Amino acid sequence: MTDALNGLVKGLYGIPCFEAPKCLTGRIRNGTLGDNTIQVNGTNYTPPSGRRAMIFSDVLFANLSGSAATVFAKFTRGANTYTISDTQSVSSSNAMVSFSRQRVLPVMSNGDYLIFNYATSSCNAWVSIIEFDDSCFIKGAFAELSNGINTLYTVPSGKQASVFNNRDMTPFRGAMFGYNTEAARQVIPYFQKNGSSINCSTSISNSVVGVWGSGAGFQMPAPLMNPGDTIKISTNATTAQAWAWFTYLEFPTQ
Amino acid sequence: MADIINSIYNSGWNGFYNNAKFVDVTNLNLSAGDNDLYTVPTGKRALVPYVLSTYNNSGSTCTYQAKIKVGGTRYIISSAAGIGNNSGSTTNYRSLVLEAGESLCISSSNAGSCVLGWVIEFDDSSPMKSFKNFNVVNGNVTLYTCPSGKTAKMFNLVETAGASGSAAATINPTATGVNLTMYLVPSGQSVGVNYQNQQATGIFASADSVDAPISGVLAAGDFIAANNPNASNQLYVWGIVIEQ
Repeated sequence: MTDALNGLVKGLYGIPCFEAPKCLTGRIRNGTLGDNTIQVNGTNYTPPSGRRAMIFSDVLFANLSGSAATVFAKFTRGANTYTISDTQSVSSSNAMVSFSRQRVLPVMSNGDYLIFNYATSSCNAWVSIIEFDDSCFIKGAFAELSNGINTLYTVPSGKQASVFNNRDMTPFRGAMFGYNTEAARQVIPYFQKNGSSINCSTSISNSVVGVWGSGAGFQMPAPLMNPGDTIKISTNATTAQAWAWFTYLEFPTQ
Repeated sequence: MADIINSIYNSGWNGFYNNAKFVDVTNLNLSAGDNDLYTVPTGKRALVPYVLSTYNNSGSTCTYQAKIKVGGTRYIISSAAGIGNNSGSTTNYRSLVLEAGESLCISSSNAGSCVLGWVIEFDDSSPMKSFKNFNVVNGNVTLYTCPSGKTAKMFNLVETAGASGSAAATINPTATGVNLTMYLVPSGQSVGVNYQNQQATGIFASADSVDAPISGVLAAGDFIAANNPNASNQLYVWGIVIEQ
């Protein structure tokens, strides 16, 4: 089954080398007003110790409330809960909406939870989860940002890395996701090669203020990364709370 | 480690490369003019993926164009694109495989700017190889013939995943639009309408590029041919094959 699953997923999405993968169906059944945690087999889902997980489908909602509904996503890590999407509308009763996985893809580790907040009760949700050993080289970076320059990721010794694009599930294509509690931020993700002071920002101008709305996704540099190379992000989040996340592959130096 | 790279870059289709490794070809201080980023060592080939990322910190608008050097001559493989100071962009083209002694290059109009790139280097005994022809002009030109004892399949990389079939890449380096027709011809046969794989496609002037579909598996002696009826304005055509 493992080999078949590896083959299936790799063949479809180019996702490499899941180790001991397991596909799970996450559900919220007849959710209540407010926060609802994605569950597997009736229990709030977090990857077990030694495992990670990622969402590899859109999230489907069925609105059974009798009126229009709205929903947004949150991500819990430790004692902190982060809003990670803008608000989606489910227009009418008995309607379904597809909540794109592009918005909700922090890679989950043990202790992390995925939550959907409903503005009404009686909504169902389904999502596909793939869970795998944390020795697999798909990893996630998730960080709260401070005003100024933040280092999100540094390649460790003996490793090479590539940013992994959640939009089309391919390596060497950069996509970072972020959320802030104000309407717009200047945000510049960039790549810095070990030993260099040059901030290579391949998609967002250093001279133009980028607008970072709530739950935005944007491109970022995605070169081959060697030990000591870093992914950084600068922001002028002087008053806002802001966080950013992306997925990357980290593998032994070839 | 080839299995890891196969998995990372080829959706788990293993066995395309032997003894593969990633090679960083980043240059954070380009010279004005042509820059050779990487040359394939003896006994190796290198897969050049579809993109070079550029970051312009040269002080003024900078124009980039990707090239390869074959037999000492540089050939364009992308259109030219300019970006403003302190901005980043990408230079995109169709992937190809370089042979020993061939180089990946980029031209930069300004000194002091940056390019971020990488290649996959592997043994030249590997099934993955490519054909390249920089003089498709004045009638039929044979691009690739499947050798004795082998079969071959055109191969599309990640950047074309989801596209139907496989395709050769073309670029028009001249100032005149030309037409291109592709053929997959069985062994012992001649180029003709029965083996046409694609209707004549117009390729406009000045670095316009198109994909030329090639569908099917080649047996020994089968060959891929291209036709450009223009007598003097050549096309560049390349493609990747898996030959086993």
